[in-house]
Amino acid sequence: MALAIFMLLSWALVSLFLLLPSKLKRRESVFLFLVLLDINISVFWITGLEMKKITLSEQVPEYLTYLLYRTLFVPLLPIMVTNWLSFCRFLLQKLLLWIGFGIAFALLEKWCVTLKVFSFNGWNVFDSLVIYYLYLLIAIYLLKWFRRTFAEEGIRP
Amino acid sequence: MSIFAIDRFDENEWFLTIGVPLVYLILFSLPKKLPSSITLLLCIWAFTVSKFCDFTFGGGLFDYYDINDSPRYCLYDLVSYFFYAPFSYFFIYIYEQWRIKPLWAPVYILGWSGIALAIERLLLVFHVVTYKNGYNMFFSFVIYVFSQSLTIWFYKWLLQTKTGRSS
Repeated sequence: MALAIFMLLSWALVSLFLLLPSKLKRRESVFLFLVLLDINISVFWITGLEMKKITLSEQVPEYLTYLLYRTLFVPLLPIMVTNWLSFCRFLLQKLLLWIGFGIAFALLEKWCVTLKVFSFNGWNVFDSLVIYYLYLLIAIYLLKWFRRTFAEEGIRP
Repeated sequence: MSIFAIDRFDENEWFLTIGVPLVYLILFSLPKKLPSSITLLLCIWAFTVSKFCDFTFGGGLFDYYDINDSPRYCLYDLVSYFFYAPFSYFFIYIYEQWRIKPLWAPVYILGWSGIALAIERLLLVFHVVTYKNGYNMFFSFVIYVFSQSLTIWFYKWLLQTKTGRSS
């Protein structure tokens, strides 16, 4: 059940990412995605399998759901929000987007726990949210760095 | 044992300590052929693909092999991804240098998968990689064929614009 729900959600997320207007160039999106994925694989491994703060399911469908969540949802959402932030003209819009980002991740984590994808052991949703907000900050600053560094290449959309 | 700590500094650590500077020396000594952003993205691509495979097939529920001395995440695991990173640049560099036609791309991929297996054999000898739970080189070969095909697609996709033009 968990795998089916998250497959459907991933389809919706990728569709949103591909179809909604974007100010991110292809190379920028890829750069952010790969770096966030690298960081996230390490973070999930360290918190889950080294520190034992998160217990993963030993059932294959639930484990595949965890892989999908780790590999697609967590790196992609901060990139989407980074893109949408560049469309915001007012501070209130940005603030709502930041809050929405937290709510989206809190719900996703809650579903993961409810659907027995993983369980927390000395860890909670707020700890995860701190990490995800850090990812958002990393995405924003990495994008600035990438644009500054490769500005002379005139990367087209 | 704390996270990132090295159990003992032996042949696998020495292999990576010598191997990493060597591959970057080759990378930086090659004449520039691709834009810097593409070079960076190709290196991050190989870094990510190898890390993804290691943390998906080499650990967790599947656990088909260990990297370095133990299943734990140690500093030299991270170093090993820096070792793999320039290889996708070399792969595309020669692909461009030889102007491989689409019809010959599968042969090129198979040839590089053979090279990758030879390097993996070296990694096995130096205990950078240790197989377990029935894993063998054929599984790696399949992974290389797929990942290298994806690398060519990724490179072509990066060069295209959203409207289909080539940048």
